[in-house]
Amino acid sequence: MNELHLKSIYKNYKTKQVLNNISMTFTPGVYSFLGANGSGKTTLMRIILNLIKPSKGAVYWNGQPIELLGESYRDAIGYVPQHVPFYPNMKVYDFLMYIGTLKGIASHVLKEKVEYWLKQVNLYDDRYQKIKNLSGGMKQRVGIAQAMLNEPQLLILDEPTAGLDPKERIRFRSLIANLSVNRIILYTTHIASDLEGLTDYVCILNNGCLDQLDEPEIVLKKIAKQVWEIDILPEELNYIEEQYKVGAIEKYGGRIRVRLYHHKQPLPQAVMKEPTLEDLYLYYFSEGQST
Amino acid sequence: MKQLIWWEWKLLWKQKLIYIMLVAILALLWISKTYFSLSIEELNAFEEIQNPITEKDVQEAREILVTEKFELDSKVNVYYRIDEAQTLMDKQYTVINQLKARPQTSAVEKEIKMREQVNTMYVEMTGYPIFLSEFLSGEGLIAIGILLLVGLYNLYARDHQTGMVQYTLTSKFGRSKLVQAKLFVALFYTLVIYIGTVIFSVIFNVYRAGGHVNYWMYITEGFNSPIQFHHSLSMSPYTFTLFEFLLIQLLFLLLGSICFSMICLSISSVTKNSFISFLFSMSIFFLPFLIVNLFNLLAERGWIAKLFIYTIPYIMQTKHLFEAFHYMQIGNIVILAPFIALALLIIIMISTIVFLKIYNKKWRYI
Repeated sequence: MNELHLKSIYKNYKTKQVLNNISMTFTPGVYSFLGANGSGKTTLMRIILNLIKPSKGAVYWNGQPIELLGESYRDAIGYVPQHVPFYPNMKVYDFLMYIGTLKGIASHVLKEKVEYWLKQVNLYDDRYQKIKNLSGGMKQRVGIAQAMLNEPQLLILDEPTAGLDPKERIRFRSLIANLSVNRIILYTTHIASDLEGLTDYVCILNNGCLDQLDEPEIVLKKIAKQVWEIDILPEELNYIEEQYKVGAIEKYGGRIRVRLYHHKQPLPQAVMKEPTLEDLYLYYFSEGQST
Repeated sequence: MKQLIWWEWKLLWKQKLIYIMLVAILALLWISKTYFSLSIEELNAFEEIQNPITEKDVQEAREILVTEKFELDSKVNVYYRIDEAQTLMDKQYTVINQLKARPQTSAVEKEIKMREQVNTMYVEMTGYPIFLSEFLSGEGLIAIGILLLVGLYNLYARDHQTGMVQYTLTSKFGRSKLVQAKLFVALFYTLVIYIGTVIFSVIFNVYRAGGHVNYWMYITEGFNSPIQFHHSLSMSPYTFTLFEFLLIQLLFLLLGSICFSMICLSISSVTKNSFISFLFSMSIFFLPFLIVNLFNLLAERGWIAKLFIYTIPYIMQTKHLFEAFHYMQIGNIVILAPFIALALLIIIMISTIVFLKIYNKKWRYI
């Protein structure tokens, strides 16, 4: 069984500390990294990918430092960057053939693999389109296809659903669910709802520190009895926002339904709710009054 | 590996700037082209010369030139050339005498020895080889520089500009075989540009030769003449023929082109920005020309000028290495400028290749 281990990772940019003593071990499963913008998610992923060097600490793949493993480590990884980069004017098919070549896939199997993954991500009919002409969702699917060409044991997805419409996000989620068997998938996002039913572990990164790493049910238990829902009049919203940490706001009829986070019942009419991953994210990262 | 090279080759040629510059260079050459100006009679007159020329030939030629009857004579250029041959010889003797009057160091002794070997008493019509040599060290050199620059400045930088570096550095071959593929592609591109330019230079100058008269029939003439007839090399202490010099020039042009392409690749790899990569690479090639011409350094012939002849574009021009007795002395050993230049090119080539391999394998991060 493959194992990825991070040992006391620190990363500083000049005087700014981006990652602070991150240590964790990953075995096959889907790991979701939740964190606000600037919390260090992308930096951590890039360190795991050996795209940037940590200021201190090391990354180990099956017990070996990744710098020493070189090609064999890179052969085990697949990476979907935040905004799928491509050469201007390159067609989908050519792009995948090029990436496959970079991944060292032999030419006699590459064509088959490219066609297989084009079908898997539902882009076979668009294979001769220039990538720059594709929609955001289609580009992300190209990103997934290129990452999967070498059938990686470690798949890293850096905010893959950013900028996608809800339909594309659902399609993307089911695609990841299909890929999650027997591989380590690291998935960074700040769209917590994408992770519902998909993730095996939730990692919360806050200002470069690892706040939580556990199964979703256990992480959610920590905010159980702190999630409340309340129906208010629109003119009361300002008061509520000033007093409590507020999550989702939903309008219905002439009233507003507000989800808020507080360690005890905030108002008599507030109803306790089961926490979701979105609540978890908002609990940790939304602006407002502390609990 | 073959596949990777093929992809890199395809990507290189997808750069529109290469074609734009190629068209611009061809258009400029076409607009500014000049023709050789000799009549058929004058050309035929050169055929009648018996080499090597003797003192009697010189005397005869000088007498005709002094009597000013030459104006109507189709042999006028022959007389001038015979006179020039003797003048060049005399200049060599003058320098030898001056050198003999100096304290005898190993460098001075070597220069005397070399100059004593020079014999300019061989007169041929030298138009084509000199025009070809001048074209290669002028327009040809600039064309090579521009085409290498626009083709290679972006070879690595484009990966950073487009974000593709995130794939290359995380893919199996991204830090190893990709470097080799890019190196191979850069070398092959350099060869294509070099061979293309040389072939074009040969053909274009034949065309120029045939512009007004059937001079192109005489293009095989002049290759056995001493290099002192090349106006940039009149005081050269070397005993090469123009043919030998052209071969040496082609060698330096090739090695210099390879060096420049390796430097472009290294800069492109380090800078991560296309514009900065372009600017730095351009400076390597064109800044020495700019500085030398701005401060008229070659006319002053000072030590700074001597340094500039070892810059890549001046090495590629070749003629400055041979124009005088440029050397470096280590103890009693005198190393001549062409050997220093050759060593420099080899060192640059090897060190940039080693740098590219190590940098991309160990130190390259986004």
